[in-house]
Amino acid sequence: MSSRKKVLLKVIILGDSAVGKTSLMNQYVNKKFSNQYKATIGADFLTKEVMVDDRLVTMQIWDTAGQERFQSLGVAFYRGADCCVLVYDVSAPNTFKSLESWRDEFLIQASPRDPDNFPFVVIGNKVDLENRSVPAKRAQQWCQQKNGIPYFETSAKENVNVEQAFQTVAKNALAQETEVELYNEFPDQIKLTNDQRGGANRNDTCNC
Amino acid sequence: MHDAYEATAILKKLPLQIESIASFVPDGGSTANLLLGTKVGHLLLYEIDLKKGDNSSVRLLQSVKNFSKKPIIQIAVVPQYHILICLTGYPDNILSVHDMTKARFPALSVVERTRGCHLFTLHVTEETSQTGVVSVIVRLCVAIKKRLQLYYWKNRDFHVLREDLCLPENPKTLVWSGESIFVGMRGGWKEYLRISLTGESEDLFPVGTDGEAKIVAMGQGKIGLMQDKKLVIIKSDVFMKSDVMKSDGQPILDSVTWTDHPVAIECDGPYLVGVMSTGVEIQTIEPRMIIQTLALACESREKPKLMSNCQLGLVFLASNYDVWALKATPFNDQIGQLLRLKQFELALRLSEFGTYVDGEREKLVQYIETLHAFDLFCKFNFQDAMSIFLVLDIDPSNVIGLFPDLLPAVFQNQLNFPDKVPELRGHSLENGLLALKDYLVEVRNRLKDNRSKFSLKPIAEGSTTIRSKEKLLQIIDTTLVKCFLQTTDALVTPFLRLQDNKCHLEETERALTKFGKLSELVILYKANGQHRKALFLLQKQAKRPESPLAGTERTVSYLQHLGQDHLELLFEFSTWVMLENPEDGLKIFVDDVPEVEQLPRARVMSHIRDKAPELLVPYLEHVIFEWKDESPALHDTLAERYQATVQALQNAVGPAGDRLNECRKKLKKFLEFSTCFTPERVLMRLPAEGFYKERAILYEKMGKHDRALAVYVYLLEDLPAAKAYCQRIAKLGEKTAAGEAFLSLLKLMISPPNASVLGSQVTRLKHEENFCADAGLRNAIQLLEEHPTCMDPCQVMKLLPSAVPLEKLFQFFKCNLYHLSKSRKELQLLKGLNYSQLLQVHVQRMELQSQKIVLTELRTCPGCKKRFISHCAFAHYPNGDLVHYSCMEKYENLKL
Repeated sequence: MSSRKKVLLKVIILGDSAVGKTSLMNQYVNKKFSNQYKATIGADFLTKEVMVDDRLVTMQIWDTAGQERFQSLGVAFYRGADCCVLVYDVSAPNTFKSLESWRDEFLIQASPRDPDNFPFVVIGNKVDLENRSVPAKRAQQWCQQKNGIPYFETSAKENVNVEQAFQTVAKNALAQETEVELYNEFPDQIKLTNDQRGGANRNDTCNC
Repeated sequence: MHDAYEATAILKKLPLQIESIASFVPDGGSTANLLLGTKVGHLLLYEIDLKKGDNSSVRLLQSVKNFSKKPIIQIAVVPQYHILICLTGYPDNILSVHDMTKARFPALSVVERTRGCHLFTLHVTEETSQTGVVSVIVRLCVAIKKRLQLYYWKNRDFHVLREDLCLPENPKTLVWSGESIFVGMRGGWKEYLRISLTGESEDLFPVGTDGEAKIVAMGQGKIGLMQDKKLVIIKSDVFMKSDVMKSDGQPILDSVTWTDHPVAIECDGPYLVGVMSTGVEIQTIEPRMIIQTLALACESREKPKLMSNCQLGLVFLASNYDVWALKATPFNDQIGQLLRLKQFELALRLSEFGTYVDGEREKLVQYIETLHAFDLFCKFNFQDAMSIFLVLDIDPSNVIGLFPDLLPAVFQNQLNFPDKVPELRGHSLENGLLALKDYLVEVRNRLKDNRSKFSLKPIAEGSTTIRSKEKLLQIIDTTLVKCFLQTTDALVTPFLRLQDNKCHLEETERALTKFGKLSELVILYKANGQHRKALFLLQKQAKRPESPLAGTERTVSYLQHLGQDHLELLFEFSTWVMLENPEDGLKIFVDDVPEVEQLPRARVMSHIRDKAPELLVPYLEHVIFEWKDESPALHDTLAERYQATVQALQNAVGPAGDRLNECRKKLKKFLEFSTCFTPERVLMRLPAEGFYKERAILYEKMGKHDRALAVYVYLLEDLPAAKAYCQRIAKLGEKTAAGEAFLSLLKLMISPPNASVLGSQVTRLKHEENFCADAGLRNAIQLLEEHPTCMDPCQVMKLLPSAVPLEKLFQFFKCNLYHLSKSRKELQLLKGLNYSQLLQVHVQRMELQSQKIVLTELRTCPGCKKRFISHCAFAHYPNGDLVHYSCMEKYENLKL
């Protein structure tokens, strides 16, 4: 497993609309924030190179539209994801409530090999707001119930904790990726049958 | 392998040696015509009508003797213009054009410039103009030694298209394709060359070590070049760069290897027909395979050497003295054969060539693809099979039916399949289910997407399809649960939890029970609103230590999320938990869960009082202290419970000191903390004796300061507490109430109150009889000195006995008067300040009112650059800018 080849990690951000998925990604990748709300259509991704345990990996972060459900994106989009980031808005209890169904939907669509241990990261965004209404304790409790999902409270606006959250995303995604590689380590099978398509000697039994 | 072609000998042992061949379907006609040019210069025209069996007719239409005095080495026909182009051999070697409408085909013209020509090629295209007129463009390329002459057909003659092109060597073969001419060279050069009409030329690759150059136009922008025994297929209109000329890269598209060197090759629809010394070989490119080898019945032992493709599915072959027809089996028959042979890819390819009525082709393709997918399934190639099923919109219920035990038997029996479905078990079953799972998730997504149309096709004729979307989703979801159960059971829970899950309750229930998935069963019930069933199951399982649902935990969390809509159920099933494990039972009503917090507390309270009274106090404590509930009923109840406990402990026999103290402390704390209980009711329940502190607090809450103070002074004998009480009231800010409290205290110090003040319950005042007036007076004067400003001196004077010497009150009056004059001065000062502020505001207002804006014709709005007409609303910015009211937003954005 000493393969030092370039690693591409596919990370998908999910959550209700207007919880700040796009803002988090923009803050993390571009270090920019805008107060204006613009709904994401379909899905869009940005890439960022990060160091994880002295290994350079490329994170491909997919931002999705929270307004629609999965139909428009299809199974193929979720396949091969290495980590899923679930985002909610600490000032909107309903967005926290939806986390469960976002997680369920993701698992069904992506159907990872080991659903119980697939790396998720939960982010409670907008901690800069005054009217916080989901207690951190409640969110932590939920994460604990789900096999100990790492939990971060961030503010994409004030760049609080964003870097840390995504560093964890990268680390856990890499761990997952490594595990998948292990599965694929078996060499290609060697075919003993002669599989020359369309060869003129198709009917011959001898290859000389 | 199937029979694609049938070879028939149509002319045997001709007396003349055939030199050239051409075939065509006359313009407007339907039967094939065959032209043969002979060595002696005769031209023969046949009409050939091929039918099944021996009914084929071969009719000699014309025999033109002495058509030429020289051998006819190449002929070509343009049926649209009814012309025949003929190249006669040595020594003239000249090209002539003949009129086919007249008998004996008289020459229209002889292209004199072509003298010395040994090879030509035609390029005929049809162009439809915008008005719908079809014009046929005929271009001609003639090879004379190392030069190529180019002509076009107009006004029944050939005209020079462009100046001649030069070649490095004499060409052996020529093919005109699109805007390029492909040349295969003879002699020492032996290369393929591509020359575009603009004159650019490009070496392609060598012809090969043995064999002659041969080029086949394959249509669709493809051209085949023979290299040894291999036909290399390239794109005709893309220049090949030498560095990309790899066998696997573009623009080499493909290559076909023949068993021998072909003498001639033609492309006929999906097939490549190669003639070689041993016979005819039929091949296809996609998929690459040899379809058929035909031996030609040949009496003269002459090998075939010429070939002409007359129309789709009809090819003529000629040797020196014999002619054969290769007729393709009707495409539909071929497709039938191929389907039996399970050669679906080729069948699909053939379906592109047959002629069909509207929509028939699509149906055929669907049919072939379905069979293909089914065959893939039978070969256990599940993923590919499923992706085809998905593309074809096959009814998912039909696909599910391919697997054992997934559909209800009634439904399964209504399904037909193209063939026997293989039995799946073990590893192959698991792989199949995995593919099915992915397929169903995708189908499910598509069904939910309302934009997609809903039209499903059966997997085989006569198979039932489902017309209701709802029902289909139900089948899909139920099957998905079964798939998850058998493959990745960790996904069952998330799937059942999905809000749009449409699982069939009983069927899913059976499946889950079969796999012993009790926890998932609870979720199923919950998702379907079958809370009673779920809770009943939980209760039953709670007592089995080996069950995954053992204990009260699951019931507690279930009930916590049930919410107030199912209150009856909640009460019913919380009872056993509260009895079993009071601590957990309490959690049902007090945990940090939004649903729990929203339960109607009064009803919960009465439920707890009925079923588990010992939990009532902890419940109320949580509601009142944690959730800050303010409803009086709850507060009253808690107060009552506290009192009852305290009294019970007091009345109890034996030492209960610590608990009693603790309880009293709690009661006191509660009374101090809460503002929502009804003090009168609590007071009423207090026993006649004792509970003085509580009593004082209650009087305070009721606002009866005199009584509260009386309790402090006479029952508790705690003057500092009484003073603190007054100060507390003073701090609340109500001046009159504070003054009254102090005065009451003063009054109490001077003379004891009558018993009625403390209520009828307290019948006896302690130490009433040994009340000491002197001490009282001393205390009163001390109070006056300590709080001189809190009491109105007139009231104080009224209260004090006249015997009090005035000098004792000196301190009080001094402070009091000083305080009064101080506050008076402060007020005067404040009045002056307020007045001056008022004046300033007046000035400001006058200044602002005197402002004006002058609008002239010349003033324009910086937002829209237009003038201000009269009667328009505008906005004036502090910096002097003036814009239309409607331009304000635009202007502000502009400034940003």
